[in-house]
Amino acid sequence: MMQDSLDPRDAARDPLTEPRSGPSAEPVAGDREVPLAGAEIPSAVHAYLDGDAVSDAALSAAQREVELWKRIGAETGRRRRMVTPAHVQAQILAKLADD
Amino acid sequence: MRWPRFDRGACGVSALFATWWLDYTSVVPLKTTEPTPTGDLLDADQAVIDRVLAGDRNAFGILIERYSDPLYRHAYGMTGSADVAEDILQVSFIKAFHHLSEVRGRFDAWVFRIVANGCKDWLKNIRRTHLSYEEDDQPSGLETPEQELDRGEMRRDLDGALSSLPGSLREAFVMKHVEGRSYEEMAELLDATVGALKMRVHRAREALQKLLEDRYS
Repeated sequence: MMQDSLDPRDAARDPLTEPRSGPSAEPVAGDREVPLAGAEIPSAVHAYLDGDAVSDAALSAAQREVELWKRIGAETGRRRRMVTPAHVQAQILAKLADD
Repeated sequence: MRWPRFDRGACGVSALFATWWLDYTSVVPLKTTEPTPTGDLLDADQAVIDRVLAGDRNAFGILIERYSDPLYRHAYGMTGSADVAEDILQVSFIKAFHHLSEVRGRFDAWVFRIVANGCKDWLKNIRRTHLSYEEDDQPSGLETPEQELDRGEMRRDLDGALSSLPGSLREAFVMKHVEGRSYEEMAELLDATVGALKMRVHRAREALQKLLEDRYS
């Protein structure tokens, strides 16, 4: 169920398209935080994940991280192929017709 | 197929199976990029908008058809729920329809911000414990029960890890790795700098790796 924003700072913004609370502001309320001192990832792996050219030697030195990110990449790749369920468009148009 | 409901608060996963469908011997950059609409498409969008504003409301279906998939992926990535993603998409497109005369510039960027705000509003208000969840109906394309189970475990673990991230990091990670957007496009859509977004994606990766490496490395 969608709910309207309860953030009073949103009142002065375009309710449709203005960013909520700014992209670099505090985390969204209700998020369960994890310690952001995360794992250290070699810069070559970040570059690889960003699609930049990386030498085989640099990747070989970070094989453990590369293999983990290939597994994660398989799942994110699957999600990238997801399509909107067929009934959604019809439901939207039906609701518009009822207006 | 439909997967069983599960308690997001109990994302524990049993032992990994040895067979993976990935070919680990090839190192292929993971980057893909969501295509940015060309000038022709932007003109085509405006033509559709003009038709809708002239009274042809069925023409709005063209815009839904054209842009719903990346928006659905964004909503799904942000909420981890197919049902919620559908709901956000419906509400957002209906809002877009009623405010269509306010579009200035790219329709796809404008409607993206509506959906992104819908996701953030949902995240602000949801009670985050014991969230029920149902898998989408997308076919997996995998072949064996073991592979299906492996995929389900990673899916659940990744959802659990993503739900632990602050919203801004989750948003950046989803846009980069699920939607396959370039940093430049993300910067345009989120009104942020490329450097700031790279930092968010990097921090998200580091947090996710911390959460997942013991199980999958």
